[in-house]
Amino acid sequence: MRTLAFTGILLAVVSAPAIGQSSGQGDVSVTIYNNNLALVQDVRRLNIPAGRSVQSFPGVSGQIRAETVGFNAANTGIIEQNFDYDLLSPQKLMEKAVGETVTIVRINPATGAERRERAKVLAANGGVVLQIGSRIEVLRDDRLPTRVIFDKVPSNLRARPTLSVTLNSSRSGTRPAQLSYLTGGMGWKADYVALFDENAGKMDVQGWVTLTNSTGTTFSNAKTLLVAGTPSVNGRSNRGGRNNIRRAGTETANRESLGDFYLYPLAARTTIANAQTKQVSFLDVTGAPAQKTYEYSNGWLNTRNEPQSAATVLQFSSSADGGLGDALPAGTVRVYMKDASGQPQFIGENNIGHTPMGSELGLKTGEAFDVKVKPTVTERKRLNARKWRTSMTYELTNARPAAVTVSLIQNGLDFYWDDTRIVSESMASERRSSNSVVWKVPVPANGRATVTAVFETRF
Amino acid sequence: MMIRTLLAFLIIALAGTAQAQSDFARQVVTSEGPSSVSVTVYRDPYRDPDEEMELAYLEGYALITEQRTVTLPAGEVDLRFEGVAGGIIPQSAIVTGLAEGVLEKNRDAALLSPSALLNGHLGRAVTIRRTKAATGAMEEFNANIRTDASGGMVMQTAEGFEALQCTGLNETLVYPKVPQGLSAKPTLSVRTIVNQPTRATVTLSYLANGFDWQANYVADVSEDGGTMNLFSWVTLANSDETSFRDAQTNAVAGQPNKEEGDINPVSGGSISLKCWPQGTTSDIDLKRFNRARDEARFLGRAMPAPMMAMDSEADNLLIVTASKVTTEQEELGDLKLYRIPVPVTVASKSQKQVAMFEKQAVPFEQFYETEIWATGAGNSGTFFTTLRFQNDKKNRLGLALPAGKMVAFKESGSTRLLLGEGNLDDKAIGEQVEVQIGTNQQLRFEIEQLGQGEGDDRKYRDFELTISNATKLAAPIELKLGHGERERLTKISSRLGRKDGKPFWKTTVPANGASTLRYRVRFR
Repeated sequence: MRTLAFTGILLAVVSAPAIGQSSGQGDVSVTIYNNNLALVQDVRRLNIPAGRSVQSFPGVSGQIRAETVGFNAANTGIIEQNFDYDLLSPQKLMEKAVGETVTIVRINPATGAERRERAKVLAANGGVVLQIGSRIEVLRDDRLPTRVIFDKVPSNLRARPTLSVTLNSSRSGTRPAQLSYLTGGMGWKADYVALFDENAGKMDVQGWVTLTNSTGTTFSNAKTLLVAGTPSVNGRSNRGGRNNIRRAGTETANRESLGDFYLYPLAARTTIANAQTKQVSFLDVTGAPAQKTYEYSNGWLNTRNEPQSAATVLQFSSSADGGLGDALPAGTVRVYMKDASGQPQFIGENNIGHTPMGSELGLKTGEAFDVKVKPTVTERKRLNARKWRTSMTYELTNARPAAVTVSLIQNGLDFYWDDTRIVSESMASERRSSNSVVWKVPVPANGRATVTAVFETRF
Repeated sequence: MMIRTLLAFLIIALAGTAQAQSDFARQVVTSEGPSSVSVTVYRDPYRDPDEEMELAYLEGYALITEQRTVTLPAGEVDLRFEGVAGGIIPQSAIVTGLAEGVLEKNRDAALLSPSALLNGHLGRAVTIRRTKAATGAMEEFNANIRTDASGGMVMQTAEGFEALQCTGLNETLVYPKVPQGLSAKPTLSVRTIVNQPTRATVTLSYLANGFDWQANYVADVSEDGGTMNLFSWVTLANSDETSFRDAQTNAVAGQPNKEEGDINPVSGGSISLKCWPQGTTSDIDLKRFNRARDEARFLGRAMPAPMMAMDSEADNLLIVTASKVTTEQEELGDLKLYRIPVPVTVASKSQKQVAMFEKQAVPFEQFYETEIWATGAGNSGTFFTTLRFQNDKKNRLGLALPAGKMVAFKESGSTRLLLGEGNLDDKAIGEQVEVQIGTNQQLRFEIEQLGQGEGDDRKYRDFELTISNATKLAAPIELKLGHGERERLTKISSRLGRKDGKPFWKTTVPANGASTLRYRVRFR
């Protein structure tokens, strides 16, 4: 299926007329993946003579992965592909001139008079040693102005890394030739703007794809396709970190897909300039339900000397039913809220992974100023050699003028291979997993609440 | 499904070709600056309250909201925004107020610089100008640039190949024009379609790095030491090169989550003027450096740019605004927003302070605290001086206290003495605030082991803790006694409380006197 899809691109590209570019590029299409990887396909009109010839390709990405280059033109065969990266510099020029003869021009600093001599470069180690007639001198040892003129530049020294292909063609003539390669330096992610209305329990979300080009090359008038996925590179998969998905969805978004990846084509051809960051809208949803919750996670059974802020978590869904109604490519969600004057202000951001449609998300946008939790180990008691009892007290405070409910989470309950059980607790908890327990604690307006629990740990 | 995908590709491809032409009929409209601007400053999320703001390198950020009025012709328009903050996080930009919406947003960062000029003329003709040192006579001739800016300049002239500026002559490149697509500063632009020529007010908002703020508290302790006047500042700073004139300025307290992964700031690249080895009497290890540079170049990574020289100290003007203006606090979700009620200028490379509040005669207590290890025989040490007050109405406070530093003074006769300096975290209404402002060297503790033995099959050790006070005032002491999980304190000579899950001794050590605590630590 994937092969077929790529054939699709090929067909379309070949049938399109090539557009003359001074950069040397032809009709360019770029497929950009998330993990700083792009597939560039460039159809150029090349005049290929019959027989053996060398074609070089200016205007390719400065971060081309030369080993991935593919070349295709009618009635031609490839003899070899070269990627030359021995760059021309004054030092290289001098090193390659060892044993050669150069012209030196000495300038008299007082009069400006010039004196020309031919000199043989003997060595260029730390300084340039010259033989002039029967004398041996070090170049500019007297610090006086001296020009060095080289007769030629070695042909393998390049101005820039250069890709060249040696071809064998059965006929001469101009024909479309397709060059394709992978390059680093181009990638994309999503950026979401979420305007949250706390009172209404709703938010407006705009999604933008943000693509960046740091390849050193501008791709002009390129057909651009974004693939929401991170294919393995060099056999290494790219599994992301935190994705903030609370429950993964099972709905399929109404978008084109390629294999397991969703596709986000740009509507029009566009120029992706070097050092450019480009954003194009792909999602605009108004009035999606969203609500704010408070969470505090205690990593292990420990004491904090000062009360700690609970996290403010924004919960919403990507479902078509009561949510954003789309699969969400990985990126950053920036959350805004209107201040008293009605101006949107930033209240925090978080990242999401590639999120299937129908997922439930919980984004920590920040830490609440007014809702705090102070966990304290009030007692640790040894019952016998393998059994301990830990008494925890959690003091919750709420300085807000409205009652809140805090999800108080105690993690770290897995102890090597042994479990931890709750012997007693002041309110009913829910065991989320063997490692984690949660209390949903109501805290009154401008008030406080206390939860106590006794854990029995074996090890 | 397979056919559908194939079809989809064909459709995209064809649609693309059809619209390719539109690229050329574009008009550029430039907005040079905002007509009004608002700046909301957020703290560096990774700076603790005890760390200073580093004015040269601020790691907080700001939300900047600008109103810009533009005249738009009909057709496809590139609307460029100039005068945005240099620290802009381009992907956070939001543009509203365009009737037909935004086709795409671009941030172009190909900057005009010596290296961009050189790279832009690679393989093209330029003029070389040499000036004779002796006579000042100038000589110009044509040359062709043969290599890019990364490893030195090699040019081709009528005479052969030469390296520029390896000769010791006064020579320079003269370019015919600026290559296309280079700009003086990174430029943010949007592409939009305009149906009717119009004058529009566009709102541009974006996050920008290079700002920070904190609260600063000044506590003036009364003569009797029972109350203090608490004055606080909002101290905000801008290390960006852009000034925001007459800006509605706010600061946000609390801890909004902020992710890494901003798009890197840009530089114009640099020219490396390396020549061939030029050692004369001593060897300079140029070669290794060059190789490292060439490798970095090949991997597509720029060499680390030389550190930007920070602007001189004189630029860091401290502007203290009239203290009659105080910020107004409002709720922003779970954060606190402090609004400066009048427009102020948030100047480039400067710090600004505006009063947050002033509270008179706030009752507080001063005490001395430490935490020691109960079995630490032979240990001795001093105590922290701590101020404690309740953040509620009853105690003349009762307002959100954002994190920051506190400096405490005491009036003594006609002079003002510095008691010490400390810091506090974000404190909500109703919370107790404790600020450690220093160390009292006149108060010391010492632990001695008095004996050890075994009873009830358990080992034990007896200790004596002595606190000595060399001052003329009785010293209230609060001391936490840490101990191992398998240890228990028994036979304690005074009643102990518990704090933070630990045994806690609260006592007052008499002036020029001492207090002792004896206890037994039993090992279970």
